[in-house]
Amino acid sequence: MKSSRLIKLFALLTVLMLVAAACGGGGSETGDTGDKRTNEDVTVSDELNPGGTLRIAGVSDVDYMDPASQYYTVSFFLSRGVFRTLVTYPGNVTDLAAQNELVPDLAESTGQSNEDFTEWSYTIKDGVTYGLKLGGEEVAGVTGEEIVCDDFVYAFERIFTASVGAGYPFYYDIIEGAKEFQAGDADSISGITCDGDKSITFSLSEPAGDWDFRMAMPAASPVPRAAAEKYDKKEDSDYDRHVVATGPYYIAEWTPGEQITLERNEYWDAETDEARLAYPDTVDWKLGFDNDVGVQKIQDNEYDLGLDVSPQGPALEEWVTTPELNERLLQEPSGCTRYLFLNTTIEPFDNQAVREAVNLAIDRENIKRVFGGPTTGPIATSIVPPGIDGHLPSEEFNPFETENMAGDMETAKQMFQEAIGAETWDEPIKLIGASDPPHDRIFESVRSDLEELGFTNIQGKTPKFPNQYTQFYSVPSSETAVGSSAGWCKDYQSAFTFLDPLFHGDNILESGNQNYAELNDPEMNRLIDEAAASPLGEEQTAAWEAANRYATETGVWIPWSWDNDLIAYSSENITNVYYFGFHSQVDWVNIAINSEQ
Amino acid sequence: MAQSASDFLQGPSQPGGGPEAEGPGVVARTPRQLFWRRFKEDRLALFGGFLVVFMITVALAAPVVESIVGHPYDEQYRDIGTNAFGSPNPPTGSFIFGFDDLGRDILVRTMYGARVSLTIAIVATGVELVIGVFLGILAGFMRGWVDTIVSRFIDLILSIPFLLLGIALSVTDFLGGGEKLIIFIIAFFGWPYIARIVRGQTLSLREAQFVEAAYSVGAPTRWIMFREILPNLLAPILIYGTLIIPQNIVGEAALSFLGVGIQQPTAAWGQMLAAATPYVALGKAWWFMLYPGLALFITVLGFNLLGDGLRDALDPKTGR
Repeated sequence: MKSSRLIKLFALLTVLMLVAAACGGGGSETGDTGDKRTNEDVTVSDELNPGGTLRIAGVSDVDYMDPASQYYTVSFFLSRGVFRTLVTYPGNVTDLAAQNELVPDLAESTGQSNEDFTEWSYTIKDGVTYGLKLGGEEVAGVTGEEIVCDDFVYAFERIFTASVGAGYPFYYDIIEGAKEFQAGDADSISGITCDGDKSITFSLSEPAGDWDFRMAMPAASPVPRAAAEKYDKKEDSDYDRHVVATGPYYIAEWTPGEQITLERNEYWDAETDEARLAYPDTVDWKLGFDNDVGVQKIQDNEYDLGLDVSPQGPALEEWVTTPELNERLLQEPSGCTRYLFLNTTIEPFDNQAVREAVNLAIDRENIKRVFGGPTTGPIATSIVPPGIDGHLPSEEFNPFETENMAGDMETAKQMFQEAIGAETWDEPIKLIGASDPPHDRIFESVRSDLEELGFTNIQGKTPKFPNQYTQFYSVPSSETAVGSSAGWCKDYQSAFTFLDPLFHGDNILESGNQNYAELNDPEMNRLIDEAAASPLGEEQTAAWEAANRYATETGVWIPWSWDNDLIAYSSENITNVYYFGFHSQVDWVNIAINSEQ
Repeated sequence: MAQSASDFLQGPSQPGGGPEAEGPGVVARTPRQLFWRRFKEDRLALFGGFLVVFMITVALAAPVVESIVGHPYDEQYRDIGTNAFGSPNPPTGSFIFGFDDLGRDILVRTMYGARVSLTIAIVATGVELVIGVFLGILAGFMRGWVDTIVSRFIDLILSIPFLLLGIALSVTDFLGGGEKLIIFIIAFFGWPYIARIVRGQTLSLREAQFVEAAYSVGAPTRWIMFREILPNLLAPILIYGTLIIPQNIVGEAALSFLGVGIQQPTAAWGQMLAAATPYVALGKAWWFMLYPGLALFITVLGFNLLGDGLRDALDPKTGR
């Protein structure tokens, strides 16, 4: 009985395969992507019709709703419409460089600093108020009230409060007194002072020319003491489920992993907001899609926009090679670098010459190809990606240049054998990748190159994405020698957000480590510290370029992609769609819904 | 059913199996001859046997073909194997089955996949048979508390979800992963079915007269279990063994489809089918799915037809 059912099943499978085979044409032969849609093709308008519902398809949920804890693209994307900060990125600007010219948001102007960038002051606007909390309730004594200086004082106290679990305190721990407050030695942070309700000053222990950028991140948004303190006093704060909106939308519904619904915040005054046009009334954001399914739904115009949904592999080929779809695929550099890393604490990668040999051996062109080809962005030749202060174009700097970046195995082998004093390296090394396509293919490409170079005992592991990070890369005790599926995206437009967390020896942590290569090089540390302390502008750019050069030459990374973001959307349903560098996504608060919908 | 089948296999040693009086036109035949006569008239079974032999030849010939075409199974033909988007390129003159998503030769990989599939399925089947037959005879013959323990243990195992345990074990690195892990998972879930069948047969066989006869001449329990009862179980074991091989092949494919066990660059059909799915879903790279799919289909079909034929030929009560 059982066996005959099986036969039928397989007969069916074969028929299906043959049908699929008959339908399929030949693949496209070239990588010629033709015209691609970029921000230059977008004409923005601030006079479109408000109203309608923006329908978003997403794979993952936010990491947190609490702006202090959020440290994830998906969450930053949500925060743009829900939480306002003192300064922010401008709206309706398509030029990527101009997008980094911050505009005042809750403050009347961008930050005023003293000469050495150690003191920054802001004046808070009149008429900016709190709205409803998550779920749509009013909070007594908060909803409808003016935003004042103490709300920022409390927001920064929270960042250094253990129960909150802040996402990136390292951007703010240079506020004087922050560390004392964190240690419990002070009741308040001495470096934040209020002058009346509307004026606030930050005193820093180190100069920070990029302070405004740090103030534009969600964690720097005001949090009313009256609404949050009772939750923060618990061992593990659950303010997460009670966040109060300041932006044009409040969170009407949040079913983790399934659904986020945003509704218009009636307490938000458009007159006070120059960055957000907030055309739609509602955002209906469905989570939990399989990536390919989400892409299909956008292709069919059932959803307007994907967030962490993007055409990959064969679907990408289809979107790029079909002209009607290609017109709906926004392509811009994302500010992300993908790389392999070599752990400097594990032999033989403690040896600079070995790292250089591996840099020459790896066929980056092939990794790029199995990842999806040139459409996904250029092959990286150094660490800091385009569009970020400190970036060096390939023509200018490419220390491990080979033909087409496809590797030079002959030279590499020679260097490798000289460096280790033997033909092959027979000790086991741990190579950790990820099992999901295209990471499985990247892993195989790398494994095969390393084997050819002379590693005879590669112990490979491919956990499910993103467990390669949580179980291996960020845990030094896992003794990962080589990681084949690592990537990093900027937090804002400075090389600081790459080099400090990933290359500074002070940032090697027992767990949650980001300096995967565990590089602790005094010269590297010095270059990073110097660059961070230099004044914004040409001087800082030059300092970051020097740090970028040095970091790349250590060979601890084999960067192989400066990613393009590929954003599929429904041109039938929405307009005013442009790429927004800060989110590596479109700027959804300025999208308008077509009225026919 | 198996009682009668085993009578035939037992042949001359069984009472009643001896030479009969020869009448005109009546030729005495041994059970083996009867079996073979029935089997060779069963065209489907012969076809199944042919397919099985064919796939075994394919598996054995894999290294030979590899060296003839000169494409090692793990060699990535990066310049010609994938297009600019990283999609597999179609068949060419020297890569007659086309390329996979890393630019490797699908012909050679499909053939190597046969080695993995057949080895795992046959070894797992062997392990299942040894454990299942032993515990089945033990439970059926001893009855009482032994039977209770074995039977409840079987119930326990059958209540564990097969694929979930597989995925969970592959994450924990049990047995170091790889082929050993797949064999363990398949055998772990396969032997209870055999044990149940063998137990049932043993329960009825132990009441048979030849067992009583052995008892009366003072044969020890072990002798009766393995020298008297086991030979009478050979037919059902043979039939069932042939029929579970294809199930185990499908099980292996399912597990490697889910990424359990077999690691790259070793080729396995399930893994190839999994990698091909996103392409074929969009109407691309049909060759990537067709050949491993076809190989899986032929193997499963072959063993199923062969197993059905064996059952029919060994058991005269089965209608056709």
